[in-house]
Amino acid sequence: MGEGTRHKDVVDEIRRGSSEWILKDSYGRSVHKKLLFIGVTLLFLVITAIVSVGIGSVSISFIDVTKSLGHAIFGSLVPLPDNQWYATIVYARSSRTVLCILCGIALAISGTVMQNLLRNPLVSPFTLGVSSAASFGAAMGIVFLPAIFGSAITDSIEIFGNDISLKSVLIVVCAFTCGLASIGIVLLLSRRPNVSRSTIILSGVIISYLFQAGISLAKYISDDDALREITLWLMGGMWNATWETDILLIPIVIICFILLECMSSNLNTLSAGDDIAKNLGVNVNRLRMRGLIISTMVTSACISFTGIIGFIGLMAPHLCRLVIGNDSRYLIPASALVGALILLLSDTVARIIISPSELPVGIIMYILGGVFFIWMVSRKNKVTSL
Amino acid sequence: MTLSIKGIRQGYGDSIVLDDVSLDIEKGEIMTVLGPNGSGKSTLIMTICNIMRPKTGTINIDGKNALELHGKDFSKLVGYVPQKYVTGDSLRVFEAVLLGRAPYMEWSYSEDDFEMAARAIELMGIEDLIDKNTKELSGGQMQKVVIARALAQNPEYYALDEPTSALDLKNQLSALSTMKKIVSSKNAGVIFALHDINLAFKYSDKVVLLKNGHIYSIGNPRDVINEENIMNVYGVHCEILNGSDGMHVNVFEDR
Repeated sequence: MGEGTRHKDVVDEIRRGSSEWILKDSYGRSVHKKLLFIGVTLLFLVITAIVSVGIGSVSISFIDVTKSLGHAIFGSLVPLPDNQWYATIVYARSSRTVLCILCGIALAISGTVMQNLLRNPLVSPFTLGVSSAASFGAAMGIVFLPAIFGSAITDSIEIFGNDISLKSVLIVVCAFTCGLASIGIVLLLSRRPNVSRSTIILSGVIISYLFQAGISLAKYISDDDALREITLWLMGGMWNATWETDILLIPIVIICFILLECMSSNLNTLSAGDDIAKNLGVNVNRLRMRGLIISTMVTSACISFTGIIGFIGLMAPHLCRLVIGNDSRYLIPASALVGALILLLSDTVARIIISPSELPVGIIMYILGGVFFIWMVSRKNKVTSL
Repeated sequence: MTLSIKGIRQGYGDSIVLDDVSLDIEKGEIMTVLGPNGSGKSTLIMTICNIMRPKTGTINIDGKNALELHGKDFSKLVGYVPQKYVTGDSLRVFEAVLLGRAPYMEWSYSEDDFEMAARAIELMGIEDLIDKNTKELSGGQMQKVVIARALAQNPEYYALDEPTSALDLKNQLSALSTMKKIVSSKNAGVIFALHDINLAFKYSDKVVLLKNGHIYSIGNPRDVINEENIMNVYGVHCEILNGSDGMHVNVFEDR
């Protein structure tokens, strides 16, 4: 081998090593930034959760809340605090905080995944009409289930070792079924050739109107008790928070989160387009179907207890995309935490803004979301190119 | 070692775009598909890449029935560069290239993944773009990134649909030379769909001329690209010139 050839090989080797080093360095820095964001958001969420539990008709100090929750979670590792608020904190207030976190996670991960699956930055459970459809299902459940099942509706069934009322479970099933119907219509429309992104959003709006008409009908034919229940619940609030609700939702949210996170690598390939994703070994149709069904499941389950809470699925992913980019492996957990944080903050504001009364958190989210939507549309060139 | 397709019939709904197409892509050779618009070039490339399943016919890769392979196993064998690429989510260039490692990864990237992606970035000469956002790239730069992604995939065969369409003259030559280098260094097989007959002359070992979804002619570029075939397939007159650096085609308007 000549001197010149050896020299060229050495230079090539150095170049190769340097490219790999630059690549690893860039990748490492980007992962570090994402993990830092997730860590900081988690810390904020924990602090906000503790503060939120302390706020109410009686203010409870941060330390007392921390000690009580610590004992409730870690048992004898943390001694039972000697304050009189233990039961209030653990059995009453924290169930609402947990419900906020669960719903925030559910709506945010659904929005993130739906945006990736349909490659449309404006879709979310709310804009696709899934929220309205699930609400319609739940409203129908509230009105008709007692008539269908009679006194049996008050029976309990055991789920994960806890007694859950049959009515709660059936309402989730009704919400999920209608949510699936709405996503089915959107899927059918989006599979037609040359369908634009705005057409998908418009389909969502139309589906939303159809199901809202159904909700109005349900309200019209319901008796006074059911009407009051539906009206309050449609405003989107956390009044129904109980540990029974949380225990039903916790496994659903955790399982759906894990399933969606397992899809995250494949969701990334979809960002390069369906054709490349297929060539990279992804079964695109199956991925889209499974992702949308899981997103609908987790959204419907939460909405059936809280009513319509809009825009979380739009805001959380977008804020995260701005900071950490579009890698779904990190975007899904980051959106989950940001969604939970936004909803928890909004609910806390809703509880104290007109104290001693409180606003439905749905109203706060409509205001926040409306402003956010206008901001997104005003920077349309950047957003629609996602 | 061969990628062999036999009796392929392909189309969209009831409309048939390819009919009874059979060809063999040998390892270590570049095959170019030529033909007028609508002749089925892109459909042929997408069929080879498992993006469209053929209505009838078989695809065998190195003796394996490709239509029965698992998606990830197939993608380790054939890489795809599309004619139109989706700019998609705004990714960093290194993320876009690392996507090519999807068939090999579960959740995180290995040392091999970084090594292959870095090699692809070097081969395409896009080291200075590594940290850029794909939204900030020009069409030509993006096309290089898309080719780099396919190189990172490290398959046995590459199928590229008009890979030079967004590139300037210098980058066209550079991209095709890179593929030629890969063919010889890795003993890979390559099939291009191209519009530029002169590039086909310069870089191909074999040429396929498609007309209305059928193979009109297949073989050595000097045998396939001649005045009569060009007239019959494209409907234009031309002359073939034998220059010092190879064959050239001069196309004329109607005389």
